[in-house]
Amino acid sequence: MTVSQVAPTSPPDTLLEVEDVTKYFPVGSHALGRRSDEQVRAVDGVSLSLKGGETLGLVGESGCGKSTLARLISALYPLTSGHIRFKGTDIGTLSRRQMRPLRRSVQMVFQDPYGSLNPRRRVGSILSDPFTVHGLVAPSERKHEVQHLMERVGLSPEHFNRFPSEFSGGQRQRIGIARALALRPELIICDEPVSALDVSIQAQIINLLESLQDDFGLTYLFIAHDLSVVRHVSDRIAVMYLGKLVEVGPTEEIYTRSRHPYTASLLSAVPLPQSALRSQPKERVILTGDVPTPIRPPSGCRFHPRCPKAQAICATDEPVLEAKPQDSPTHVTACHFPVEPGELLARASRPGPEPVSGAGDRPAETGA
Amino acid sequence: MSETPPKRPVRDRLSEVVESLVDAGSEGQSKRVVEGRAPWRLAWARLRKDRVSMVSLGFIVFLILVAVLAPALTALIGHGPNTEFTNTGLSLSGIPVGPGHSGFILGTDDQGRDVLSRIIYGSRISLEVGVGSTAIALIIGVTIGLVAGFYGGLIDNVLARFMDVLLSFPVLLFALAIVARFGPSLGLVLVVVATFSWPYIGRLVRGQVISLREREFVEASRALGSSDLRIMFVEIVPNLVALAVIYATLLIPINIVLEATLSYLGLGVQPPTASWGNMIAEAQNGDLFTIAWWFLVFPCVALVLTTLAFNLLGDGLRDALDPRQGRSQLATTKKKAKRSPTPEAMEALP
Amino acid sequence: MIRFVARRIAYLVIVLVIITFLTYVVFFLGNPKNLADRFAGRDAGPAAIRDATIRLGLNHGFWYQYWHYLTGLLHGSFGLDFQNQTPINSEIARAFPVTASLVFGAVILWLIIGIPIGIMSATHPRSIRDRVGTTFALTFLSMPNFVLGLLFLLVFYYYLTRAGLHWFPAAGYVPFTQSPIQWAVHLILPWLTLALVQAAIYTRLIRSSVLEILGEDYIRTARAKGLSRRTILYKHAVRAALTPVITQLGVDVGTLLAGAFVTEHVFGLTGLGQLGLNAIFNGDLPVVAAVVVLAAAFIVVMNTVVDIVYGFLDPRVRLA
Repeated sequence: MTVSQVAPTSPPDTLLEVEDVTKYFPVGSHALGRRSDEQVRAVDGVSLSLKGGETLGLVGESGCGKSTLARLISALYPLTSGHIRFKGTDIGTLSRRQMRPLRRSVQMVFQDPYGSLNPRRRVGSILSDPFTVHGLVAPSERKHEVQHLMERVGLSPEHFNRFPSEFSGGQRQRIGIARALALRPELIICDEPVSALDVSIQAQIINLLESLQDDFGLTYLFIAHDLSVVRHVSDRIAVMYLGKLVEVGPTEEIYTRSRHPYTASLLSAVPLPQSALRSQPKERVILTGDVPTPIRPPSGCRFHPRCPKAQAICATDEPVLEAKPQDSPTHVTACHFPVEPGELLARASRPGPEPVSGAGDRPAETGA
Repeated sequence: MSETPPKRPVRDRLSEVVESLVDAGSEGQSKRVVEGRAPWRLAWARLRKDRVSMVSLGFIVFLILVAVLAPALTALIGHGPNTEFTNTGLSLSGIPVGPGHSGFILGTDDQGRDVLSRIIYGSRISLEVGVGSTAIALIIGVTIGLVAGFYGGLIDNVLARFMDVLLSFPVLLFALAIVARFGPSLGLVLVVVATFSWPYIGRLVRGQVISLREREFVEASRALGSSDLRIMFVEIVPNLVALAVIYATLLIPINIVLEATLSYLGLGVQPPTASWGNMIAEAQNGDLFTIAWWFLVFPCVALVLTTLAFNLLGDGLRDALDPRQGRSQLATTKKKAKRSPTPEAMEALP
Repeated sequence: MIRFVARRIAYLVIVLVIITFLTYVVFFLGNPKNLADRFAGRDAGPAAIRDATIRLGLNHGFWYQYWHYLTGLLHGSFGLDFQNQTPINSEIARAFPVTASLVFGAVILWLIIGIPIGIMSATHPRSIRDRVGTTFALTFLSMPNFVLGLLFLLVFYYYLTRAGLHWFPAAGYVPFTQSPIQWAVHLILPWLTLALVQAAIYTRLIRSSVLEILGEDYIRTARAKGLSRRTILYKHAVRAALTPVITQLGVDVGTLLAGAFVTEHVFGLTGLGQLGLNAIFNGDLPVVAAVVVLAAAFIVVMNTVVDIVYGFLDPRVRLA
């Protein structure tokens, strides 16, 4: 499934291009004695692009493949198929050694502030790593650089001899950000950077990320499952479901005029303050059934077993990611029966036969 | 970037202000670098509180001192370990002299040699072989465990199987066979003991490395572009230290006993060189020990106390370095699945 | 499941082959002539030595001897020893019951001692009872077999005998068939020697195992439901805690069958261990090989049995 819209030819300021990328993991034990030939289709044909300086928010529920995609882009996992181009260079074809210098341009901030820092190393040592690995900055200067970095992310530079266990969750995340920043990358992939933090701390970290973006001219791929957070930071949003993109578009359009039923259900779960209710009629759309397994995804549109608008064609034909009439060309949706403006999903009825379900989910029920 | 940056909520701006105030406050304090509370410092503090471990550690230090200062100590006593004091050490009918008699603090053995001096020199052998072979086993075990666990796949399969095979060997029997074949010598004993003990550590290290390599800080290091070697030694090894220390401490007494057993059976250190094992063997010769109990009992006591001290210290270290783990895993080499109630147990609950 | 069992058995065979090979290598690295020398008798002339060489089959190459040996094994025969050319099988048949008596008797003894103490320690952690139990465990844990054995001999045999109480014999083995009472009497000290050390280990194992189970949530549920402590303890906790003990037991039985020979040596029991030891000292290669193979077989077979039993009890292990 290729993107039919969104930068038909790569304009000069396209930083990252992801083209029809798939990643399958084998199921069962490795080496001798493979249980089966089944595979976990973590990412199944995703295409997107990032312009320099923008923030693309990537949302989806747990298990939809967004973390895997993040690691593919950071070249931590090899691709099963497709291409990933960073400033024109196809990173899938590069060897470890060739990839090395490119790593200075693409970095990642991890989700778990407790697991992403080696508990047995001092923070100063962890933060000098980028310099040591790439041979930048003379050893005598490194401490100074590290302390400078720490200051920039809001930490006390005197603490650079401390161990991660002596910092709070928010502070550890700052360390993670400092580490990503050390090499002055162009693209930073934030893999749920605030999901593990208290709400009050989340705001601080988000603000830090934003101010860093201004100062250093960074491009972000911001992955999260909390939509209110994503709305605040992103210029564009991509919604992922079971390894595929279902909707991509400018932030405000997604929030006010989402077209995909899945997006609508995600948005309906976001608690809104009273005043915002006036802009769009809101009903809680509750999806039925469990998330199907990525090993044997449902046929046709992967969302069809849980979709309140699904019809027969949804079980057989996979919808293409394209702009729907009345949408701007940068807003694309993969759906046969996109949500119409003003439509109340919760009351949509479902004519037609029972959907063809993948393994592991129950037949959906009508109504909310 | 959106056209007009959304106005940041007051809440955020406030927290920023608060934060900068806090930072300013701490900057007002001394600018000296703050030393971290290292994990090992905390562990040491925990160990200090454990009196049993401290006593064991003290004993071990004492033993090391004795071994190192052996010549000086025996000079002090006045009796060398191998000198046969046939006049003063043996009675007229050739029976060894008991403890406290004729200037022999612990008595003499069947050839009139000073038991205490021999025990002092025996400590050298025990420590050399015990600690030496453990050190070798540690180096080999950690290296192989690291490589096997880190790379996985075929390398891991081969190495893990290799370790399993070595662990399946009837160790003592085989060691005896080798030593019998090539002639007993201290060096050979050391090598043989090390050869059969490294898989014990290797397996444990491998297991730990396998779980460590999936941790996010390893991924982060990879994302920076670190080479495999760098990840292994800078990221993973520091997390192995605790495990290595504990199990090395527990391996030492096993190896000490192995040497003592070999010497006891006559295939380790040969007399006249004193080893606690061969002293015990000599005591059993001709049943002399029935009359002269001291030259059997004292080497036994030395052996047991040493072994006990290391075992207790190892246990204490395990508690100090990982206080959450309450399990005692002595002498188990089997891979254990995580314990959970069997289905029958759950069924049985009314 | 079948695949699991088959894999374990295949593995067992491979290990045994490797071990026999290594044993042969260790001994063959020397000069076969020396071996022949020794067995040809004193003052043997070159002719006698040559005879011995042929008689012992040493004139053939390594691979030939090894192959000969392997095929013999597959027919269940360990061959003939160097010393007297007697069938090793019969020597083993004579020695095995001794070792088996020693080991299995000790097993029963150490379970009887170890399990109650372990449970008691676990149910009253940090109490006096627990401290006593732990001290007992730690003391015996650290004792090498031969030390304990000799001390027992010293105290129970010599001192008692000198005091006129001829309760314990010095050494030797009396077959069960000959006199059950004498059989037991001769074995009590060896049993205690083995059992006390093992009991110490098991006490600790059981203690930590039961403690861990008692901390689990489902025990708390049972308690909340109102079950008595005794019911909980014996019907649930102990059953769950015994699983690792049983697997450990399997491993230990294998290891002990293979290596109790120090105890045998101390007490003069003519078991497999003694057989092996004497053979080692005499350079009697076939016997040594036989004992080593047998010992390895015990270890590996018991390991495999334990694995299979564990795989039976806990399906997750099978998938690993």
